[in-house]
Amino acid sequence: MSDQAVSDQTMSDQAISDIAATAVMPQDLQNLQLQFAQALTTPGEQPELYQQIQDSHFDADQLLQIYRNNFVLSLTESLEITFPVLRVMVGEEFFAQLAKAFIRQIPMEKAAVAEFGDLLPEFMANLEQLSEMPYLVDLARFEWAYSIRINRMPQAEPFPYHALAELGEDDYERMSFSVNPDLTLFQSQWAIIELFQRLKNWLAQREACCAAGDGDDSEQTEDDPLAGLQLDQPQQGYIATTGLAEVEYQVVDSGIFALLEHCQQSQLFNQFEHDDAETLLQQGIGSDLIAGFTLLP
Amino acid sequence: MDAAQDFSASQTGSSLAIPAASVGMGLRAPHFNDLLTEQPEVSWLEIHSENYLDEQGVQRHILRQVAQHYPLSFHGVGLSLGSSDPLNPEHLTALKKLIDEFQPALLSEHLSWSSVSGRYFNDLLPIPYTQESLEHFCRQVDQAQQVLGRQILVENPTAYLNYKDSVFSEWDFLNQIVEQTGCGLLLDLNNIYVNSVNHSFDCRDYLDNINLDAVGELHLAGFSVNEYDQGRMLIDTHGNRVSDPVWQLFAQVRHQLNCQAPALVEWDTDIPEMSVLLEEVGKAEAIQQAKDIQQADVVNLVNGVSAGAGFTVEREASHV
Repeated sequence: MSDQAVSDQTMSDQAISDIAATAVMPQDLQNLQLQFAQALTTPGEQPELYQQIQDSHFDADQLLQIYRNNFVLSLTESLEITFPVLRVMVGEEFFAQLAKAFIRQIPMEKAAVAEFGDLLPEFMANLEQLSEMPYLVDLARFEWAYSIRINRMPQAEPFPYHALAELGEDDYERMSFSVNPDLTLFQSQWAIIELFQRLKNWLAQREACCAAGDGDDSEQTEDDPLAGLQLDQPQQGYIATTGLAEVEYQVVDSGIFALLEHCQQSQLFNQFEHDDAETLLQQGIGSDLIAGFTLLP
Repeated sequence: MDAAQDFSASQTGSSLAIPAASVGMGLRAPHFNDLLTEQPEVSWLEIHSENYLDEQGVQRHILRQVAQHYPLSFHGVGLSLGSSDPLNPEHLTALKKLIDEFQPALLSEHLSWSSVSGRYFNDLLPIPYTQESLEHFCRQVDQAQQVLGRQILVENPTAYLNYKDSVFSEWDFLNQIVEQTGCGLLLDLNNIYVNSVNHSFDCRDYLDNINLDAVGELHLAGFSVNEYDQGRMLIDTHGNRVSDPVWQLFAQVRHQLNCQAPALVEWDTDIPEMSVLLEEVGKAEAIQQAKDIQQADVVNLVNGVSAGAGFTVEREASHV
């Protein structure tokens, strides 16, 4: 960094820290905005806010309704883009109701709309209506992880075989292997990965058919993408970013999954208790699930 | 207002500059492939900054490729300058990194608020034009310009309601912000037209009174019409072709009022194929070249470029 760049950075950092220090609360504006926010998230009369809105041929609540609609519909659209598989699983109508409740009740904490939706699985877990379909929560959890992975570029470097070859025998006891940074581990007591894969493929086929003009949605929905699926089978696996907007997701056996979890906790490899530890390690490195190692002190 | 630094003349260094009186196009994800493979002739592109904040994100990666071929403008929708909350340091830091990496030729935000008490609403909500709001908004613009180290253009919003407490007209409010902070203006002609219909004023009054010398960018976009029992309301959807009245405003601003700021064709919802946006860019360029055009001939001119300027009418049935 040049001296000028360092100086600019310092000024910028100072300006950011000054924001909180010099904040002046515009009281009337804040009161108005809090009332407006209440009107967006909670249907019902807002007499104090109505009094602040100029008369026109529309009444105040109708004008606020335009903003209410936009608030819910724009964020619903964002959730539909992020959770297409969940949407097809629960049906469009239920999804719309779920999205509306989520949008109203769970504050969006960042300006970037793509980051909205991380709390949907947790929200669903607390819904009485879904208590008898707990696998939907895991499906939402998986789809959120998928969404994160497909929107990121791969970061992993090739496994450092040269560095491994240079280690002394004593070093092996201090080795901690690291999971490929492009990978998210996933585990469920349901066959979520297969469920997701079947619905995802079904959606892709439906889109392809529609694009080719071979049919419409109603014809395609006669197929049952879940025929023969045994949902009550525990599954564990991963979702990995593999290229530009490319993602791979796989079911893995419990041994390799246990190793990946062990590695993710930055534990020493020699503390991994498994009869086939060495084989699993080779398998993990060979399939790029394990991307590096460090020597712990 | 304590503006520690004069930003009014700082259009900053960009790797690729945006020429005056040029026409750009909004860059949206569905067009990434077409844009990179076809590399159409368009003078510059504008992005929504919030979609590119993730340094490891796919969109950021694609933007790096796009930036090699096109000048860029960064248009923010999340700084929430009009919020009673202090500026969000995390958002500002991410935006600063984005700007530092790409050095866009233009940087803009809105005269609106989109968050309060840390909660965002994904919308550009109206502020009252009061003395308190003015002082607060100017403080926020000052701080943002200090952190980002450059001038911001502030865009006139669409508002479906007005507040009783407002003591400034929108143009006076914007002119005051320019004077007090050294920011520039992004003049959205569609927003002016939509507001003029919804709130019954003459666009000419707006254009006669706004500080056109401060305008660093123009926006052109389409709207929808919602019909209610009480009457119609134009909705700023940015989801249609530019309407004929807005083309006429553009001709007026370019030729009668001699505002040569770069103009952007904006399209944010129901995004069509890229060729449709390029047609709209072509219409804007045709208007620019017709220096002696009369207002009455503008519609014929754009219809000659391609048929079908207009808007959609929707019956407002579903209330959320």
